[in-house]
Amino acid sequence: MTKSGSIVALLCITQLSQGLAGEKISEEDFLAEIPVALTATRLRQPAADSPVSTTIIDSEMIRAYGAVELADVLRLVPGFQVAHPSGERLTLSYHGQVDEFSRRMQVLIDGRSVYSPLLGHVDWAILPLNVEDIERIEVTRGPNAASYGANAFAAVINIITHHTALTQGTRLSVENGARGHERYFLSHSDQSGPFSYRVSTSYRKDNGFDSVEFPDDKNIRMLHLRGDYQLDPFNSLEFQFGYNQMRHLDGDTDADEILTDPVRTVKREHSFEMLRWQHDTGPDQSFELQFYHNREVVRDNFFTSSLDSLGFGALVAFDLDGTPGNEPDIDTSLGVPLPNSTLVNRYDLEFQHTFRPADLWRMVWGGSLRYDEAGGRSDFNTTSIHDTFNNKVYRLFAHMEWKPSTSWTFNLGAMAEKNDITTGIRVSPRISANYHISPQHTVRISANRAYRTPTLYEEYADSTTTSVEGIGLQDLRFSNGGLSPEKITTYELAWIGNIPRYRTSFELKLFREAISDILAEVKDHEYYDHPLNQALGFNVFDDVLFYTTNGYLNTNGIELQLDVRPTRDTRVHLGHTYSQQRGSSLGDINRFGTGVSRYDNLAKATPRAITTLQVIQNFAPDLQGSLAFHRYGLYEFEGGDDTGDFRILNFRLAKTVKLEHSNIEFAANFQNTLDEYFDYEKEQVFDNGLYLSVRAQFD
Amino acid sequence: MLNQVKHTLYRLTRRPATALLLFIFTVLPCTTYAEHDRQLNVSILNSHEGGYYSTFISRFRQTATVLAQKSQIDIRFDEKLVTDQFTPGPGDTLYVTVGSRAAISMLQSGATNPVLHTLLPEQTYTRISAMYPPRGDWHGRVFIDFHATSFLDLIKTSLPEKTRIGTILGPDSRQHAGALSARARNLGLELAIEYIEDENDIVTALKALQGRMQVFLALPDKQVHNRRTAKTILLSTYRYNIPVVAYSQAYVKAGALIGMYARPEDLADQAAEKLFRHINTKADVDCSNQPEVISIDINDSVSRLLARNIPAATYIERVMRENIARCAE
Repeated sequence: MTKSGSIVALLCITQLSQGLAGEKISEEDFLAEIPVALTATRLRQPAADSPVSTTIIDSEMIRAYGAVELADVLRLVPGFQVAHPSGERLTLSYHGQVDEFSRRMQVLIDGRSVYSPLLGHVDWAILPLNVEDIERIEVTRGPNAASYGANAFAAVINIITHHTALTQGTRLSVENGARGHERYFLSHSDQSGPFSYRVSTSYRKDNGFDSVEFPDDKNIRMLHLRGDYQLDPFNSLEFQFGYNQMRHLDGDTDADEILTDPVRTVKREHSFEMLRWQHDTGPDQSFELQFYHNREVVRDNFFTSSLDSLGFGALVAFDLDGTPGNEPDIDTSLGVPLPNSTLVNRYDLEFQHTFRPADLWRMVWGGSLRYDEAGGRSDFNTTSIHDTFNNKVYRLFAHMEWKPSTSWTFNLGAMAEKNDITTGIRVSPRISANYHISPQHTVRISANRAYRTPTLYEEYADSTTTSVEGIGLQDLRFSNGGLSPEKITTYELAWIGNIPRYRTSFELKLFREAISDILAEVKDHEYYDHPLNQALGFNVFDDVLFYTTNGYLNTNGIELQLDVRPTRDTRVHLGHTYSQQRGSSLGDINRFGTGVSRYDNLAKATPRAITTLQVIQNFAPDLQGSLAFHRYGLYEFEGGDDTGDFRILNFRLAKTVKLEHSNIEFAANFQNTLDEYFDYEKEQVFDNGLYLSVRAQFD
Repeated sequence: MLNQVKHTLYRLTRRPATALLLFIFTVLPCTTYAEHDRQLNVSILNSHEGGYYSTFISRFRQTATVLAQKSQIDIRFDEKLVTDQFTPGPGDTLYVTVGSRAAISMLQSGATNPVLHTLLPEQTYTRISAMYPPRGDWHGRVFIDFHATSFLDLIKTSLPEKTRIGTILGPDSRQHAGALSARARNLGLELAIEYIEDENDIVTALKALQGRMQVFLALPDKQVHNRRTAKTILLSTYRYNIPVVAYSQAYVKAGALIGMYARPEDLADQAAEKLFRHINTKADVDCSNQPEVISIDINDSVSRLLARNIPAATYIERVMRENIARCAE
């Protein structure tokens, strides 16, 4: 064979063999590395080994619930209360301790903390998150600072979205229902080699509560992007970006609110960027580094009508400090500027290392640096929204699991935190011993401590309404600063069981929670008898509120969580909580100008009993029915009304039509088919409503 | 490293004859001189450099050297990469192909030399030998894969309470559908099968299996299981608490509950033994070309979540060894 002939033959052989071996299966398919999918961080701890109580709400439960507001689905968590202080705001509670702003929960979306550094609450209505993209919600019932940081105080809500590889294709949803509810959702996801992405967008609007006199309509626009890039079998990158905008009507038509809270449109914007690098060498070893930035902007700058037109001009001019004849230089032909806009930023850098130091041990440790800043002219009495107050937070945490035998699992964890608001370094420890009576039954005893750092507003508040000339017209809230963190200590005795024969798992726990150093919002009636109020017949000068550390709340109770699958096509999820509370905090000083102090009864915010139930029944592969039932004993949140006992019963029926390249689901959701109820203020009443939806999935 | 040594020692204890021979012929050569009756020229044709190909060849040469000394054969090795210009050597040269590409080149060459094809799937060999029928007197095989039905036995052994199995078959694996269904019936298992032509259909197929399976069985198929689809499969099944039973160590590392596979070192031992059985007896010893040494890996982290009562890997290995037909010694 000539040389050129040999080369041609070689090329032919090479190409042919590549063709033969490359397109079909070869030994490479048996021996080559595969990207680690179930990483050490993704694999959750089994309930029998866990140091804390956990409730998992998976995508099937979320879908079957048919929640209009995402947070409503959290009613399925034993002991949880969900309340609606207004058309655009929700507040959550686990065993009470809440007002209009739920400040005591850590909420994470794909590892990103989303509670606001300004007020400590979560804007549930405008989380940059579509319910269709959620894989599951893991709720830790109780503090978990050792894993999630200082504000994992009452509970932790960890929302995990689908990996982009699992949502390939195009999805479309249209919803229409009661209270003017409309929602349109469009998402597309695709994969190209090692890169997969998802783009989701939605628009939603509703008319708020029909029962209230003040307007509370809202509309929300959302854009969310997620990209996953597999660099090699051991390294992956995840990028997320989200932008949300809500416009809602706010304000009150009541005479005593018209000066400071007139009806107007408020625009809220939330956005974030997140980048995460994950290095996984197997199911037992994972290293994760992530950075994210959250930004919240509330645009709510407005003027009241002129003081003259409101009829206040002369009165305001009369005297602002109550001293006749000392008239301020104020132009009463102008309205009062109310610069309620706020700007909030959070920058967070975190690393986490999960590994097995020895056969019987598992460990996760890590640390984070966080920078929070918030600005608002009326919240902090500054001249610019960019005059911000900030808080730098440094954290180090470690958690170890030790299984010395098949009968025992021990968990020990702690988190040390230093921040600019509270002094010193605080350590939040956690310890538990799980005794496995049998492979199916475990008894757990645990103790846990966590702290809640005061929010930027609680620490630095100085809400002063000023005239255009800068003269103070109204003081609302202020803080003396130097606040201490709230402290919670919990003790639990739990029985975790599994009865395979009846496809049943359950957890029954006895708990005691002790919260001390409660950050109380205290009213000072200093201006109660202000001459302006006297002259008008209502309080233009409202109560002055300030923050101080004063109060306690002790809770004892029992909580059951039961999951049963009596047949392949039936799922039952049941939760029941019975608790007794005792606690108070300073509520008023100088009550009605008498100098008498009053303490608030904090126990009234928690119902004696809460029951939650969800049943999902697949009547046929393409026909699913579900119901959700909740029963609450009476409670009264701070700033709300006595709700009395109330029950909620929702039904949903969904029919799926399978076509060659698509699935289309038609669903009818009957909400609150029992009596009317309210869960916060008596004006915000829920009556029954029908919601219809069509969801299409195209390959 | 320590684990590797322990693992090797463990393997050797399961092959006492090999262990004894290794000891005798690696420790004693300095003091013992054996008269060699014959000479054997072995030409190793390699598909790729490095990685598990090197692991295989190194172990093969080591074991073959020991066995050659036992048989008083002077063995000489020659090693070529398949991308080199390949011209068959003299007729008495025995070829050992390592990997699919080497086997293809060998068969295409039309050489009449005795050949031992190793480290390739049975399906690959069947396909290329149909195109280029082997012409030599002897063409031994040591395949890397187990029969697809063996994995149903594996599920029956390791997860006896799980009776509903789901799998996705593609162009490479759909031929096993009949045998799988028959074996499932024999074992009292319900087998749900979805078929795909292209990896883009994987999510649809997984959705179709949802609710019909308690265990997902991953069988080798390029369109169904590759670097892109494996993550989707593992994440999707984990979401519904469904364990994955797979065919490779890497799959277990990535998140499958249990894997049954053959290690290159064990296949190299098997290939060397097969070679010398042929040389010494000239008998037809190809009654089974499956891996004789089974490796079982269990992902402990997945097991504690999805299958807490799974038997020990050593027990499963022992049962599976009895299930899989082997050549009589």
